[in-house]
Amino acid sequence: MNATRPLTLLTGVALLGLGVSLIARSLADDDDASGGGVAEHNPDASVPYGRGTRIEKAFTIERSAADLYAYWRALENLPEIMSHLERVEQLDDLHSRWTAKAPAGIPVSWEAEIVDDTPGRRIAWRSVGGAVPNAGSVTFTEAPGGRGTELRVEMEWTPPGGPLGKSFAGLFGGDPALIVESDLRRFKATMEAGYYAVNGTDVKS
Amino acid sequence: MRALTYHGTGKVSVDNHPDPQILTPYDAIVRVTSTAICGSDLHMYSGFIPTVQKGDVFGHEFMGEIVETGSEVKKVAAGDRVIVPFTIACGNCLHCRNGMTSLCDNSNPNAWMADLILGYTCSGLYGYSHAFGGYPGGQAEYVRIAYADANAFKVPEGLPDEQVLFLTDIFPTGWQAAEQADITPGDTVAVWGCGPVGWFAIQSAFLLGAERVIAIDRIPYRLDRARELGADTINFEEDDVVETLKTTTAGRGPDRAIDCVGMEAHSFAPDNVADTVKQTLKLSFDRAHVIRQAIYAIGKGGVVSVPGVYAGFIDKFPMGIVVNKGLTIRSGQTHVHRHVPKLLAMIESGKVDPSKVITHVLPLEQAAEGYKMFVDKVDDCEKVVLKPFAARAA
Repeated sequence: MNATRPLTLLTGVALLGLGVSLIARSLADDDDASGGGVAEHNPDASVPYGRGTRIEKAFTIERSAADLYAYWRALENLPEIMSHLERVEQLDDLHSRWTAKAPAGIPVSWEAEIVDDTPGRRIAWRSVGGAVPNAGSVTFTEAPGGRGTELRVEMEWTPPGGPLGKSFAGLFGGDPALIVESDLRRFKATMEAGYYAVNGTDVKS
Repeated sequence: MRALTYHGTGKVSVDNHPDPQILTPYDAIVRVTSTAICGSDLHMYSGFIPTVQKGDVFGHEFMGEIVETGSEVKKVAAGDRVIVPFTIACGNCLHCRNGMTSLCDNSNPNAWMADLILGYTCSGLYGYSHAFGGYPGGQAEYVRIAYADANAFKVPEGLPDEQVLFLTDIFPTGWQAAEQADITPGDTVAVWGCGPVGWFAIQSAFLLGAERVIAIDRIPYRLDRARELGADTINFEEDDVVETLKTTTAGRGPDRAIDCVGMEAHSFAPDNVADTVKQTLKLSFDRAHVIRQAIYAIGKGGVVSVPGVYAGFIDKFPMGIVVNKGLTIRSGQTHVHRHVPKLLAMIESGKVDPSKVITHVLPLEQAAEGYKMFVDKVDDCEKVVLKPFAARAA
């Protein structure tokens, strides 16, 4: 027993994660919708067909579609959900100005327009001009058997060229798929329980 | 404040830590009056639980007095005497609403780690590794409680700490183990492990209508305690468990099996020797001898209930026996919250006296001694209760 050493946090997760990923790999097909694949065709998208990076994340939330829709439709709430956003200003009913937290000191801002607004069901937006052409949507669907509302977020963008493109992951502060997932997890907890979980010891991720 | 702190395998001490603070409007701070060392703390103490870090504060069985609450806490207030379940519930997600609080979607701040390990995160736990939330634990003078309205249960003033403390974990854990074994009248229930969870599982099995309980361990004082509850016993170092169970049930085998041992099985059987080597080399977290033996020894059509803690992957799992004998395996961390009201009523009516599980009461300052005593099973040590403010009160 004296020869054993306590596992560090990361080797512990890595060892278990290795086992999980071996299993997952042996089971999975090649579908990688969450990791950023080639965009599907979307006639509304600002992102040229076949050229964008795409994220899709979904959570089931114990709130009505109407509640969730109302929160998202007030676009200035989005920085509360999406940690890579600094602020969103509503310009008129359909137009807004989005500012991302500056990666490596480079401020990124763009104008967006809402291209689909179906109350209680779906909001879709796309950028108009700007350095990072992007589009996104959020849909709210009743989960089966009274299990709440399925919230599904899709985002796609064309990675820009130049120094901004090189540090594009910096726009999100890490892997965009993981960041969005963790953002939505906090949103779910906030909508269900009033506040997301914190422990006072680990850095939030 | 003072708190029991992990410093590496087999090394703990009571150190100074900053007092916990209210971090969200839904929090409360509890001044701990009693806290206990759990058998599952020994898995961390012995270095078998991944994502435990040096400096972590252990402890998930604790109670005390609320001294501060966040602005959104409505159901409890400063001055309330409460017990706090070890599984943290947000109270509002689908699983919490369905009474499956150990499966809470929202209470693990490190959900990404648990997602990686488990596929989907389960509830956060106090003082039980970073993958289960990184929450500082309750072997401390003060603890921050998350989602206090869902997790702080007021207890009657008339009942001393020693009666209600174990509502936080081991009484509901033993109860749930027996309940999910689906015991029916006339059943014979075999219980592996006569530690505190086994002790509660044996009583729960009888309360749920078991005709006979057969308790399996190797430590004489634990077997004596099981017999005091009315169980028959098998010392697995003296008798062949499988053969004895078969003979004593006249060839039927036990109808229900409960594994209150989990990942640190003791045995010189070949499978366990191999597991011990792998565990020591960190190729595996678990020694799974008991679950394998339970599956082999149980009668046809039986239910194997597993409250014992396993951490990761096990091999040599006898799936062919599960299939051919038509077995059901039930498990889970304990949904403490849903059991508290009925178990509290059983304590009040005198049906169960949880305080009898306690063999040692120590000041928190002597916690390291308590761990050593419990892991080495010296002085007939069954359950250690720690008193954070004992020295100052005396």
